[in-house]
Amino acid sequence: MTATAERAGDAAVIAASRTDAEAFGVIYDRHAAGLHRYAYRRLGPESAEDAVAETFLAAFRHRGRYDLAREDARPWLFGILTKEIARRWRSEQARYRALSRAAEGEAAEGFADEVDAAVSAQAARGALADGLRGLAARDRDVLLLIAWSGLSYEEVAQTLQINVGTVRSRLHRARRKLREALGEDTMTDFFEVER
Amino acid sequence: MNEMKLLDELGAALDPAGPLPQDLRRRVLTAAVRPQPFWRRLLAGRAGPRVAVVGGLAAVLTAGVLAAQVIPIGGGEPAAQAQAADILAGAAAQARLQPEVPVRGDQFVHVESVATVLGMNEATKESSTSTITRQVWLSVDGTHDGLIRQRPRSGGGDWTDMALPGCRDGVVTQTKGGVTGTQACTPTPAYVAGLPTDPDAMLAYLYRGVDEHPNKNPRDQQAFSAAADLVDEAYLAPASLAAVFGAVARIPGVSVVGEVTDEAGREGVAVALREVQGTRSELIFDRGSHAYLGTRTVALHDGEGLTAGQVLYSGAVLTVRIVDRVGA
Repeated sequence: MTATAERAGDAAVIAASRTDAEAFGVIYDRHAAGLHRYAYRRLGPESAEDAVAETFLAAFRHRGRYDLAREDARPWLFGILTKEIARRWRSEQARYRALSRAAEGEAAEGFADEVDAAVSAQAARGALADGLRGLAARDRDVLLLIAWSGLSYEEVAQTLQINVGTVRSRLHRARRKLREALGEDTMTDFFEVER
Repeated sequence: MNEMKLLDELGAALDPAGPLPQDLRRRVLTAAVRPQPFWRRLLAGRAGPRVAVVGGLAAVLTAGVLAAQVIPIGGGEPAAQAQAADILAGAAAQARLQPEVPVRGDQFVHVESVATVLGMNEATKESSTSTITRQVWLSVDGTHDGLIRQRPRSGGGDWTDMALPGCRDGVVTQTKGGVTGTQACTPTPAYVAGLPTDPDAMLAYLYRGVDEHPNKNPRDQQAFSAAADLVDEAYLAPASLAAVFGAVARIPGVSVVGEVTDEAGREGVAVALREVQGTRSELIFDRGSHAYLGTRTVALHDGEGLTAGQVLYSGAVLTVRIVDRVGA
């Protein structure tokens, strides 16, 4: 690996890695933590680790096809990760189910004492997990990329290879369904200004 | 409360407790940068001492694609399972006909075999085939220096030797790339006296081994692998060999998959178990006598650069002898 690779942008590093495979380690070091955190939230420990490993292996295999005009590799990497997560949908569904059950258990215990804010937050979390589980996969991808990956609307559009308008409409639908799951009045959304 | 704010909180609550798993970087970059044969990954999950020997094989081999030659035998699952039991009973009967050879600790199990191995470059997904003739001398008690000797089957290449240093007084001395080092070890005997001679006892022995070294594979799959490891490139007392085949017949999911030609061109029939890796592990027996011939691993699905039916590994045992010296 060359010293310049350490300082260069993602595109330059990926270009370098086409002849010097070791340079790809820089891409890992820059982005592994962010990808892993996102995958971990959605899949839990074991599947997250596998998904991230497979993502980098796929990225490495396809580094020849990377569009060098894109300085930041995150949309590309999150795009691959999204597919890896899709392959592990069972883990994701199980994670939300577990969250929902945990919340139910705690809420029920809480009632014995006194209904308080913590309990209702727990209950909301369970309802939220149920809501996430019930979303269409493509809506959930948009919602969670926006909420959890740190990517902008524009970058999420690149990640999923859809246009920004589609990002907005899927996000809108996902949020509405989450609110329904949380039992809130969906009409409030009616007056919300679309971003 | 706003659902996006709730999502933020949920996300924070779900975050990993610590930093990135330490071995993930190595796992990713080793696989990406230093391509490994696909089949080595397959074998990584297998239990038992045989892995050490197979690992040595991996160092020299590059790869192998064969067209699968399975001719399905009619009938559904239950029929296939019943047929497997018949074949394995025949294999056990054949095993009991073998002479019982006295074995001393300072001797070697000498096995001649032929194999084709599929290797795959993880980065390019290009696969290649390596067909070899192979001889091994495995120390009976694991304390003597053994040897793997192999060469390409066609083209008349030279024999390549790989040392299998014995483990003496808890230390093994290995030389790699001109560098000699020592490591703590426990001997890996090529022959174990006193293995069960009854199928049920053997079955219990196989599963006990599985439970002592658990991994993520299903227990039945591990038991099948352990049985294959036990008979492949090995000498077993006739009664124990027969017990292994009897035990395999009792592993749930084992069935006949069809007629095959083994690596040495002999007409065989395969008894197999589907593995969660998307592969099928086969034991091959002579079509007439049901004597054990060898093993194969076959891909069941398209993907990862493989096609359904592709043979990842095919090995046929030609001779098994007990000898006094390496190279003899």
